[in-house]
Amino acid sequence: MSGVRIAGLRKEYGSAVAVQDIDLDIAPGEFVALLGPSGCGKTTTLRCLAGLEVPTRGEISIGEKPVFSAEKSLFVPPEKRKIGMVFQSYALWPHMTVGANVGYPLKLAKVDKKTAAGQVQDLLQRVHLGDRTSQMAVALSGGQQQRVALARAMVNRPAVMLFDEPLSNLDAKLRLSMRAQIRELHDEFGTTSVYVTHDQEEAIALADRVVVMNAGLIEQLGTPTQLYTRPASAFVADFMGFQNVLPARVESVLPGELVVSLTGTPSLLRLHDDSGRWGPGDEIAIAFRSGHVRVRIGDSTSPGVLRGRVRRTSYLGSSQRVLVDVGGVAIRAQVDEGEFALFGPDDLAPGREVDLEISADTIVPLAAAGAPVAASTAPVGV
Amino acid sequence: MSDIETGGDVATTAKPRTARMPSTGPFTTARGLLPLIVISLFLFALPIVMLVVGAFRNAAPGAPAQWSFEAFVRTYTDPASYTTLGNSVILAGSSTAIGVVVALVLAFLVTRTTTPLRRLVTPAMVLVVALPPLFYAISWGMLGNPTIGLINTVWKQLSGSGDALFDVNSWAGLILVVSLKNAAFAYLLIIGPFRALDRSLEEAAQVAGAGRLRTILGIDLVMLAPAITGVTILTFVIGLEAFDVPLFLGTPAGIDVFSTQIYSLIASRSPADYGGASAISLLLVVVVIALVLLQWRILGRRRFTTVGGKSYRTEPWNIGPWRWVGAVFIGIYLLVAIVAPLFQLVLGSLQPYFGAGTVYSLANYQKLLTNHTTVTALQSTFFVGLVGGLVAMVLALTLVYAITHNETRLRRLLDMLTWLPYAVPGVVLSLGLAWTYVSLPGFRQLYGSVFLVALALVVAVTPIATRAIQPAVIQINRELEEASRVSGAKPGRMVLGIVLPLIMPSFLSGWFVVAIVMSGNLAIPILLSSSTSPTVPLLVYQLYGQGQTSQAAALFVIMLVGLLFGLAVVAVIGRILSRRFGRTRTNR
Ligand SMILES: Nc1ncnc2c1ncn2[C@@H]1O[C@H](COP(=O)(O)OP(=O)(O)OP(=O)(O)O)[C@@H](O)[C@H]1O
Ligand SMILES: [Mg+2]
Repeated sequence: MSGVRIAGLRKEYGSAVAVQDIDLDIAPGEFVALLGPSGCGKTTTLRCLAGLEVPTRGEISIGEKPVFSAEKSLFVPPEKRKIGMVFQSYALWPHMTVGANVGYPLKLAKVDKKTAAGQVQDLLQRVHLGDRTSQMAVALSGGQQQRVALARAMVNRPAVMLFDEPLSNLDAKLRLSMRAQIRELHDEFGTTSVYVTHDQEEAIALADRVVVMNAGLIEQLGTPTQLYTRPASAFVADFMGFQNVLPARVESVLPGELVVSLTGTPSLLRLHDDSGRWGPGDEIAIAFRSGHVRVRIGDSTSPGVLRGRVRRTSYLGSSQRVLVDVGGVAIRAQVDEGEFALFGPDDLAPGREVDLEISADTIVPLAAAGAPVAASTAPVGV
Repeated sequence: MSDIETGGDVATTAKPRTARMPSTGPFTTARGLLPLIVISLFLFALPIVMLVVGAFRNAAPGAPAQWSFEAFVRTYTDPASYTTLGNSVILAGSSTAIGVVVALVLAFLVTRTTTPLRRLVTPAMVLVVALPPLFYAISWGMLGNPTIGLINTVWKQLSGSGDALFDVNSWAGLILVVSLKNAAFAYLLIIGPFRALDRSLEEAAQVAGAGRLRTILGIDLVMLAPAITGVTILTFVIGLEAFDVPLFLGTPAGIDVFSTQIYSLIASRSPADYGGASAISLLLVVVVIALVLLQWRILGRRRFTTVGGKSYRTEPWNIGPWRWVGAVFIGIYLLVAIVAPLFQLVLGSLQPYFGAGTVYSLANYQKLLTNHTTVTALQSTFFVGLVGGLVAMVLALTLVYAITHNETRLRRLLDMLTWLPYAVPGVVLSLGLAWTYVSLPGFRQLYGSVFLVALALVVAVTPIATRAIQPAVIQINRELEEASRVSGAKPGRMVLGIVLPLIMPSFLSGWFVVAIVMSGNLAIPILLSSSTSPTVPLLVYQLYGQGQTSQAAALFVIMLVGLLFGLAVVAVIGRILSRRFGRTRTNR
């Protein structure tokens, strides 16, 4: 069993910095996902781990063994790192059969033919391809090819498995079953896994811990629950699917609670916070999911209710999205199937007045991160 | 694969103090590229440097000499030099004009019309380009012989006149024969852009009311203008560099071009005027490099193939009775470029002496195959073609692999170096190589041997070899290589186990092309071979010069048959390999 240690990792390509400064400790047997938008340096980090790139600075060890150190000018080439890697393009060798592809690492490790054949067959059976051993690898479907690639990466029981968006070329259904298979093999073999993806759902479903990266730096590191419920920055909130990330101002601080006003409106909101980070008058950001916004008709007067007008709606089958204008601020809300009955046919028509209820424990306070980050990349829509 | 181990053992050898930038593979760093740069400088750049040096020395290669401007001044004040320059420009210019026009007409007939015979054109053009220039030199030298050539004997019989219709040893003959090959060359370069032309533009013009012919002239030619300009320059360069045909057909008529002039300054002066030959070579090199740079500028180094958007089939144009005119045009080209020369060559080789009426026998072949000199020449030619070709391909593969896997600026230098021999005509290259190898202690002993000729030919064909292997190497998905490294393969093992098998079909066909070009080359052995170890082309030239035309023809036929046999073998291997790797293409 071995974990992975990355310290002060930096990778430059000429004048471009792909990875700025990454520190990461991965425990033996842990499954870690690297999550982030395109170009944030996930692949580069993974390739540095694999030994396919030489980092500019930093240290990497796998298990107790250092495999890279810029200071000591130490570099262990990929073939000696005892890792397995699954590539986005599957990277099966087209001139070999399925069996030869999977058996190649064993052949290089000089495992005797009989043992090797047994191991190959064992792994192919695990990925349900036991009857395809003698077919040419590229004659298989995409999903089957990726399973062969998985078998090949695991065949000589590497201590560390690396995945670079292995499922992004597959359709949604296949992705789900492959995901399960990857996690299953990870648990069974007790490997340490590092998994690169830009799909937050995939990261949350697979990993023990998720690393959110942005522009070559780690933005937040935590368990899926932590990231899903308590993102630490507007960037992470947006990336974890918080549809509303809005600028706000702290009006007063109560024990375990903040009262904030949405910037540009007189509306007040309560939210849970016992960090004690903020004081009255601070400019912050608040984030909440559209699913946590309840839409009500009529004039409730309870506190923590925002009054606004419907701008647009769109029907999604199991739910309906509603974009509501609250004093010039657009808030995305969602009405679930079970609540459809609460509304008349015209109640959510554009221009109608509605109330929005957001419970205090679903609102996350965040540092006002300069610009309203990536939320602004999508045009305001429903 | 000289430096393949670099990546392998850094982990164990790296010590804190001998800090050296580690690398992931053999050629990824500037340091890894260095051995190849040194080799390339030696092979490709040094001969040109030595040529410059040679132009300013007053003795033959290897002899003690002083620096002198004498040869330079003599050459550039001699009016004969400018006559030669004029002749070269006339030959290159007219053969380019004819060649490009013929190529355009043929490309148009093939891609746009329903002309009969159009499917024959592309394979025929490949054949014409593949056949050595020497083939055209000797076969047309026989075909257009004023007294006993096939053309004139047939003409005399048909017309009853006693006068020859056509003497190939003339400006007309020279231009005609050089044009034949230039047309094929231009055609193969222009057919890609022709196919890639975006037809929707053409249709838009037609909808706008332009006639079909007008569309072709107004839209297609304008769209193709950069490609046509590039092809024209390239063809002109090839015309300037022509050697074999002017040597066989021009020299008897007293027409000297650059390359033959350079040769005669060395071969028919006593003592040989190496200084003058080098000085005049430099002018040619400068002109050619200027033209190549011009062509790169125009095409932006795109390889002629990126003209348009999507190409989709539209109905070929039915040009009515004109298609018969087109068919006749194609027919005439095939006749004069392939059928007639081949027929004359074989016919002549069967005559006891050239022009000996209608007595045919295999006597020449028997004589040649029992003669020690010719058998040795055949052996050394096949050695040069096969072994030299293999060396050239391995060198080219190493260079291309390094260039595509390196991320430093040095790779551009290496890329430029591999192009250098292309900018230097064969005779000039062999002169430069003569200067180089004679001046180097270890190589001087090799002078005149078949090994040196092979080495020189490797240098000469490197541009062709690298272009043959490059697309295949570029196409390999990098992740296939990386997957192999991660699986535990050292770089060398990865190349042997993954890269080589994947590029094998291109490697084999490249090897074959290179072998043909090397075996058929006359310009290199003519200056570098000694008379005791000639290659076939040199022997063919000597026999032809001695009036042993039939034997020269027979010897050439033997070589062609040998190459054809090689082609068959390669084709079979290629077929087997492509069946094995046939599914490669369906991989995404
Ligand atoms: N070989 C290279 N040369 C120059 N720049 C590079 C190279 N490889 C990556 N980069 C740059 O480094 C940055 C990070 O790239 P990387 O491939 O790690 O991103 P990523 O997070 O994997 O993105 P994606 O989700 O699109 O795969 C990008 O800006 C990219 O342009
Ligand atoms: Mg990536």
